Amino acid sequence: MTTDAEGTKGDGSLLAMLLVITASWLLILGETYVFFVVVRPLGPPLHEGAVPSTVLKIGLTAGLGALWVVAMFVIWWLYLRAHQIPT
Amino acid sequence: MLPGAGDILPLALALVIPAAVVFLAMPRYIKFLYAKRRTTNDAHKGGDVRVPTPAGPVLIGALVVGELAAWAFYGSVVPLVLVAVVLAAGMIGLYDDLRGLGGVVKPALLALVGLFVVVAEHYYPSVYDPVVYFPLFTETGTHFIIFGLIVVASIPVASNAFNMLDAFNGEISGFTAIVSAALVVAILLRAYALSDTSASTLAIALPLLGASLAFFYFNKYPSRIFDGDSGSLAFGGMFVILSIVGGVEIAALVALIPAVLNSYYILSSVRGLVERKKMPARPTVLGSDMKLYASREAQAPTTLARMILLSGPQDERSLVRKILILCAYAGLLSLVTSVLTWLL
Repeated sequence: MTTDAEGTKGDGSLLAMLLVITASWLLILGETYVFFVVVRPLGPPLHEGAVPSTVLKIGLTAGLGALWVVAMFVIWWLYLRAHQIPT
Repeated sequence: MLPGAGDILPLALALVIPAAVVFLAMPRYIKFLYAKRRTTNDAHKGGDVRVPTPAGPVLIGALVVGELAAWAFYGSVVPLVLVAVVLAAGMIGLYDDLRGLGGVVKPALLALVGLFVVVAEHYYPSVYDPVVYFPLFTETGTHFIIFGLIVVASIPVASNAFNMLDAFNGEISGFTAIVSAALVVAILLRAYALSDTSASTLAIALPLLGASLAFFYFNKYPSRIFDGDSGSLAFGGMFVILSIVGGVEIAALVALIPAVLNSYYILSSVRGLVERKKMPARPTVLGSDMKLYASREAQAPTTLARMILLSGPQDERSLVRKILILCAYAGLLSLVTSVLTWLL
């Protein structure tokens, strides 16, 4: 096998990893949209609002973080499954 | 407020002085480490190839000198806070290099470094602005407590992300140079958009770029020295606090995506905080053809390198080039994020 052939061998993985990074970035931008358009207007600023409103906003924001983590986990699981690696 | 003509010399010196310290001190320090027999086996070469380690003390010294230069030029308290962060994170790493620290003790100690920064902000409210600016939208409200908790948590997370990406020749130095360049650009764009960011903020960010670029010369394939935990934790701790005092947290987070994914996948696959030396299997295997193969063992940690190698073996230099391409791509996305944050 030539060096060039070996050099391009891992390019498929590189492209896949570039897509993973792009997906991760788009998720950050998408969650920013949800945070400002949905979560933030749910009540007054944290230090001025009542406890239920504050808890709801902090909980939903933490949920957005959890969603990113779950999405990255699913991508990882699918990636390893596609390469027949047991997880 | 963009830097003026009078800032060119101080900014150039803030970049060049740390690089000069690394270039001047590292060759002698390498000889010193060889004389003291402080070397380790380079696991990705055939045979017993010994490489001196850790380079951390020289890197810490270069970063400290760079921050003191920024302080001498602009007189703000922020470079002194950064000096304390680099020294504390670096010393934690140095203790880990020499004696070893547990998988839980190290993050706990690094969290104390973050707590120090929060305390510094409490007494000197000019250290950082407890507000996060998001791309396309606006900034959050001012939340000292919530932001403080994020500061405390971010140092162990980011420092360990740097540390976990420190496995191959030139990987950590190249990665740090790329992310610190992204950070400098982000701060520059913020300075263009807002009057509260000035040349002094830029001056405190440049030493990390200068030191990491100079270190890449010694650390690239074939490595003449490894940084050790003292180097990677000092780099990571400084990067995260720079992103906070520079007010460019989201752009910094985007630049860090490859490192964050790498550490997240490691933690997911080994199911917890486990020291590298205590992991049940290596993520990559060196073949008799001197190429690196992805481990097929179920208990091997999943790293970026292992994921890239799943489609075929690579030599170390080619693998690191691919990892740095991923980092450069994340740096590009960080630049787009900065544009979306400050120019739209």
